Amino acid sequence: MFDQYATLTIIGVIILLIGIALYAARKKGGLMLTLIGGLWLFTMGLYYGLVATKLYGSRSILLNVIGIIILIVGATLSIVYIKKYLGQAKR
Amino acid sequence: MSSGKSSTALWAVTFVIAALFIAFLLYIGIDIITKGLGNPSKWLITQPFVLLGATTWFIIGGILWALGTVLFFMELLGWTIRGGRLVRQVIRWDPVDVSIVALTAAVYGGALAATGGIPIIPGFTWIRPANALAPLFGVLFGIPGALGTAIGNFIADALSGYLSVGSIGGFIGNFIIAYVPYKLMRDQTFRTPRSIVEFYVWGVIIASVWCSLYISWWLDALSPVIGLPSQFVWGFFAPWVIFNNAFITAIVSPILGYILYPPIKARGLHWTDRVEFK
Repeated sequence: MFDQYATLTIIGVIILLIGIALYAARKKGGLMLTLIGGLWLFTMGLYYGLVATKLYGSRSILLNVIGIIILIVGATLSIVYIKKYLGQAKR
Repeated sequence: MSSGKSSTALWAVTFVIAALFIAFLLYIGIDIITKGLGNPSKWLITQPFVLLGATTWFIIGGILWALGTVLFFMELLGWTIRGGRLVRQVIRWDPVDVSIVALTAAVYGGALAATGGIPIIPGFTWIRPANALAPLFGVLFGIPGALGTAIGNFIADALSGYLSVGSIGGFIGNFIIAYVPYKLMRDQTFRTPRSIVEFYVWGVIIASVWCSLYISWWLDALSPVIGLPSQFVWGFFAPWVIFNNAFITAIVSPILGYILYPPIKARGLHWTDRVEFK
């Protein structure tokens, strides 16, 4: 039986491992692939977490709240990091 | 004096084009509401799909799928088409580019999930207001923005209960929404009539249609696994995705682009300041 979610998880692991290998070898794009793999697996973790809590596929308002949290935390962390990096680059 | 007049005339024409286009999309929306969600075969936007049939659209979708997939991998591998030639593009993929991917993924995915399931047309269905961000992220940030859009959609699929192998199609399909205006708009400032018209052509019409056909083909091709019948994919999903993307993008994106372009350009984060071509 074809397990869609196991397949998606394996794809995420493969992308992450390739990314880490390229990053370790100081090859360009390693960081990008590591990020894609990481966020892919973050999504799979989110999926398994929602299934375990029986929230997956429900119309719970909690899912909207999680979306708002991802938006605020993700955007804030990224903007802080970009500002910090651009500040360092100027110096 | 005459240059000022012609500029005003050009702006007037642009506003008329935009207003007519938005009015047309509103008409399509009203047509869908009037005929009912249960009657997709009667919708105006579905007629080209009814007329040509699922097989024809499967072939057209297949061609666009192949082209989109090749472009996706080509761009990520550092190659692009510029001036009709295949050239190397040097994206730094430094911490700033990686942060841009994370930023756009979080904002797009978070915004899609935050507004998911909220009925915009009460008792009928909902639209995705965050769709307006997808073409903008491409125009502003280039490939890192397009990649963030793809990841954001993947995250939103998990939160909205639509995660499946079909999401791989959604991943590249959303990359395409951002990629098309990034690659094909010549004036990306949102400050000239040309820029606005170009956005409507590439960012609203072509990107929405290509994204929809890309995902639809993938869903149809994988129907034995995903379980969606062809008639549903081409008779409901494809036209609905085109409308859903085009509607909100046509209204909100040019305004957001006008607001966001100056601060992003001033901070050196616009893709034109970060990519080199060899």
